Amino acid sequence: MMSTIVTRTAVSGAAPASRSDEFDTLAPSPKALMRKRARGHVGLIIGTTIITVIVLMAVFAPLIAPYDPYAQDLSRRLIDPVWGAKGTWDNIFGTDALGRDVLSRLIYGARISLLVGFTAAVIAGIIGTALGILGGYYGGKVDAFVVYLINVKLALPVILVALSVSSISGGSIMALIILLGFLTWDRYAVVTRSMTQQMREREFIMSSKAAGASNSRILWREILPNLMNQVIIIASLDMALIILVEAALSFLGLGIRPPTPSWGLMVSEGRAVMFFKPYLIMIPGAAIFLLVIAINMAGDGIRDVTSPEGRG
Amino acid sequence: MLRFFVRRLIIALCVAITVSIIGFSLLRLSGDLASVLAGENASPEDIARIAMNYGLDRPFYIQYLDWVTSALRGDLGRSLFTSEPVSELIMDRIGVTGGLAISALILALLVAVPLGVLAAVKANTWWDRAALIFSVAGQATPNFWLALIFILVFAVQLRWVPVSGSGSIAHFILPVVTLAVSIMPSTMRLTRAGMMEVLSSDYVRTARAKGLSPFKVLFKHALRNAILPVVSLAAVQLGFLLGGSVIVESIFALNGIGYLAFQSIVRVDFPVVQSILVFLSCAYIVLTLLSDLINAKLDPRVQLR
Amino acid sequence: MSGLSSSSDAPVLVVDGMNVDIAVPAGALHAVSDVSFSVRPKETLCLVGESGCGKTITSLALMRLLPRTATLTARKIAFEGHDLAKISEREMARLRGYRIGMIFQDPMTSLNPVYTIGNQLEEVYLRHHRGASRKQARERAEYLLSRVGIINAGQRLGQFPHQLSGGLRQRMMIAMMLMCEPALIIADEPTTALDVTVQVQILQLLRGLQDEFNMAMILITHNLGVVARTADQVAVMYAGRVVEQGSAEDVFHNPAHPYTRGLMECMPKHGQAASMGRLGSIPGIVPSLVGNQRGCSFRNRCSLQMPSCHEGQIDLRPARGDHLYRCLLEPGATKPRPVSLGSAA
Repeated sequence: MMSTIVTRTAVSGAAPASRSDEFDTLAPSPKALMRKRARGHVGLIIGTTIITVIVLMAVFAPLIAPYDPYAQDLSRRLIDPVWGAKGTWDNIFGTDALGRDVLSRLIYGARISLLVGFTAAVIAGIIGTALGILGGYYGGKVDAFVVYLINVKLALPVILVALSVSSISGGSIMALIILLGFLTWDRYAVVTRSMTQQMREREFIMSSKAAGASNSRILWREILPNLMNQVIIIASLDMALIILVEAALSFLGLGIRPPTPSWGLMVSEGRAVMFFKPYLIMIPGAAIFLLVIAINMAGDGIRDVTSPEGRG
Repeated sequence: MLRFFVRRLIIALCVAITVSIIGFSLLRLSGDLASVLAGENASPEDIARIAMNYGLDRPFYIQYLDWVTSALRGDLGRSLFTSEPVSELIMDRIGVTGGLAISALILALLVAVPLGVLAAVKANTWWDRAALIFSVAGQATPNFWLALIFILVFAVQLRWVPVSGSGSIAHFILPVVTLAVSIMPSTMRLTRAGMMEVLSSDYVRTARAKGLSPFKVLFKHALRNAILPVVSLAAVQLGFLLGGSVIVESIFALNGIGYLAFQSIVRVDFPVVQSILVFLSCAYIVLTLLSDLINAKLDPRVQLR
Repeated sequence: MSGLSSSSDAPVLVVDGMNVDIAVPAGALHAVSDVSFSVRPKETLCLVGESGCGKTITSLALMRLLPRTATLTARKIAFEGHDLAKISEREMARLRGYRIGMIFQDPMTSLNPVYTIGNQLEEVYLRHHRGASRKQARERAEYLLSRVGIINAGQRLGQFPHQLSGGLRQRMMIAMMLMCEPALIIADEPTTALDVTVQVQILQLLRGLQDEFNMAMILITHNLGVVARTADQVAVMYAGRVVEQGSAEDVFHNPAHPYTRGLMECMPKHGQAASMGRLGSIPGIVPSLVGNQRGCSFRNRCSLQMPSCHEGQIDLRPARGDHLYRCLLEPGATKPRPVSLGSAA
C-alpha cells in the first residue's frame, strides 16, 4: 500500500552511502575536496553563521538580554520598536501588551526553539534510525513490521495528535519534546532502511560477515557510521520541521504555555493587537523563519558537500 | 494485478485498525480524562461519577470494542458539550475542510509543477535559483504567520478580501493560498528532481533522435514520467492538508473539521476528538490506496511489481 | 566480410575536420579531434575503438544530441545539402528521425516505458509527414514491424516496451527509425546489450534493410567481429582521433597503425564466436584528453615507441590510396625506426 511511497521517497532521499572508494587515487582526498566545496558553498556559510549567532544568543541569553523577559511593566505597554514613530533605543524591538521587552523575550525564546528542535530531532533520529537499520538489515518479518509501523505513523495527522496529547498532558517542555520526537521519526526510518538494504549487499559488509563479525558488530561498526552523513542531513530537516510544529502548537495555545517566551506563543500574543501593532507578530515570526531557513540551508549545504551528485 | 491490490488492501486494513486503537487511546493515555473533565477543584467522588457517566471506568478494551462496533454502524457517539451526534458534526464540516484541502492541492500543483519543470529545464540558471529560493523560503515560513501576514496585507491594507468568516468564495481565497504555499516547496522539488532524472534518460534522447519538437519531448515524453511520483506525493499531501487545516481554519474562523477538532481538544470533548483522529487517519489510508490505483493506471509497468 | 559493395553514388554524408570539446572543471576536454570521413548510400562505415575513444560522442555530434557542455565545430558536415554543424536546432530536429535515424545501445532504457509501441512508432511518422492520418501512420508502423521480423505486428502495436524482450525492443527501435526511410542511419553499439544469438540476427536485419532502403549506415562498435561482418569502410579511433581509416579490406588485411594491429591480434581466430572479438587486451591506459596534446596519443601503450613520438602533431597520411593512418612509422612496421629523425626528447 503505502510502501510505494516509502520506497520512492527513499530512492530520492538516499544518496549512495560512501563514494570515497570511487575516487581516483591521484585526485585530492575526499575530505580535502569536501572542505573545498564547503568553503565555496554560500548557503552552507550563511546557514551556519545564522545558526551560530542564534545559538550564542540562546546560550548567553542572561548576559545579552537587556531586560528580564518575564518582567511586566504596565506603564510601558506597546511601545513601538526603535524604527517606529515613538520608538526609543530603550526597547529596540518595542514592548508587548504586558509591557515586556520584545527583544529580551526573543532572545530567551531562542532557547525554547533550539532546545525543543534539537532534542526532539535527536529522539526521533534514534527511534527512526534504529527501526530503519533493523528493518533494512534483517529484512523479512522484521522489515515488514518496520514498514507497517512507518505506515501507521504516516497515517496519523501530526498536528492534531500533537494538539490532543499536549492539551491533556499539560504544558511541560519535556512532554512536548518527547511527543514531537515520537511524531517525526518516519523520514529517518524510510531513508536509513533503504540505505541499509543497499549496503547489506556491498562488499565491505560481506567481507566482515565472512570474517565472522556478529550482526550487532556489523550494525554498530560498519552500517551506522556509513549512515551518519545522511542521518545528519535528515536531522536538519527534521529539526526545522519540529521548530515549526512547536511554534504552531504554541501559537494555538497548546504547546509552550505562557508566560514562557516561545516564538510561536509571542506571535499568538501579538495577534490580538496585530492590526495596529503589526511588529508584535512580524518580529517573532521572522525569527522562526530565519532560524528554520538557516537550518534548511545548512542541511542542504551538508548534503551538497558530502554527496554533490545527489542534488535535487 | 488483483492480487497486488488485495494484498495492499489487507495491509491497509491492518494499519487502519492500529490507527483506530491509537486514535481511541491517545486521550485516555495522555492523562486521567475523568479528572481533567471534572476540573481542578473536583472531589474524588465527582471524578468517579464522571468516569462512570462516560464509561471511563470500564476496562480499556471493552471501551474500544464498544466504540468500534457502534462506529461501524455509523454511530460515533455524541459530543459531551453539544450532545449532537459526532458523525453529524463531522459530516456537516467535511465539505469546508475537503473543499479547502482540494482547492489548495490544485492550486499548489498548478504553480509548483510548472515551476519544477522550469527549474529542471533551466537547471543551474537564475530561473532555477529563483525557484530554489522560493521553495526554501516557502518551507521555512510558519503557516500561521503567513496567514496573519496575508490578513494584514490583503484584507486590512488592500481590502481585497474579507478578514475572516465563511460567507462567500472570497473568504476562502486567503486560507486556500496559505495552505497551498505550505505544500508547494516539496511538490516543486520533487518535480524538479524527477524532471532532471528523466531529461537525462535514454528514452528522452530517443525522443529527440526521432526529431520530435521540444514541446513534445518535454511534455509528452519527459513530464509524463516525471509526474508519477508527484501523483503519489499529492495523495499524501491531501491527507496532510486535511489534518493540517486546523491552523488555517482557526485563524480564518472557518467552520471545518480542523476547527471542530481544535475546539473539542480545548474542551476535552473526547468522543469528538478520537473520532476525528481516526477519521482523518483512515482518509489518509484511503487516499494512498487511491494514489496507488492512479499510479497503476498511469504506469503500465506497475502490473509487474 | 561483405566485400566491396560500395556504389559509385555521391556520398550521403561528408564529415570534414570535426571537433568536439567538452567543458570540464580543468578546462576543455578534446573528446573528438579532427575527424573526417564520408559514407555513400548502401555503404557501412564502422567506427571502431575502445570505450572512451570518442566514437559515441562522434555519433551524438552528427545527430546534434551532444550534452550542453559540449561544443561542436567542423569545417563542414555536409548532408543532403545541409551543413549539420551550422543549421539551426529547428532545422536539425526536422532531419532527425526523418533523414537521419539513430539506434541506441540499450533497448531496455531507450524506449519510453509509459507509451505503447504503436504510439512511439506512429509519432515519428506523424511528426515528419504533415497531414498524414493516424490510420496511415498505424499502417506504416504495422508494415515496418513486420519488415523487421516481428510477427503479429498488429497485436504488438498495443503492447508496452516492458512486455517485449531485448531483441524485440531493438527490432522495434529499428522499425521506429525506419518509419520515414532515412538516407542515413547511425547505430551506436546496437547489439552490445543483446544475447549472442540475437546479435547476429539484428546485424543481418540491419544489413538487409540497408540494401532495401538504400541507406548509408554508420555503425559504432568495439567488437571486431561485428566490423568483419558488416563494414565496407572502417575508421579506427583512439583518444578522440582517427588513427587509421580505409576500406575494410585494407584495414583488415594490411593494418598500418600499431594500435590497429594490436586490436587484430586480440581478435579470435576463425571458428570462434564473433562476439568474442572484444578489444582491450592491449596493456596501458588512455591518456587524459584535457588540454593540448603533443605527439602520438597511443605512444605509452605502443611497443614501437620512439623519442619522436612525443613531438609535435602527427597527421594522417596515406598508406596506399585512400587507406590513411596516423603514425610516424612505415605502414605495418613491426620494429621502431633504427634512426630517430627528430631531436631527442
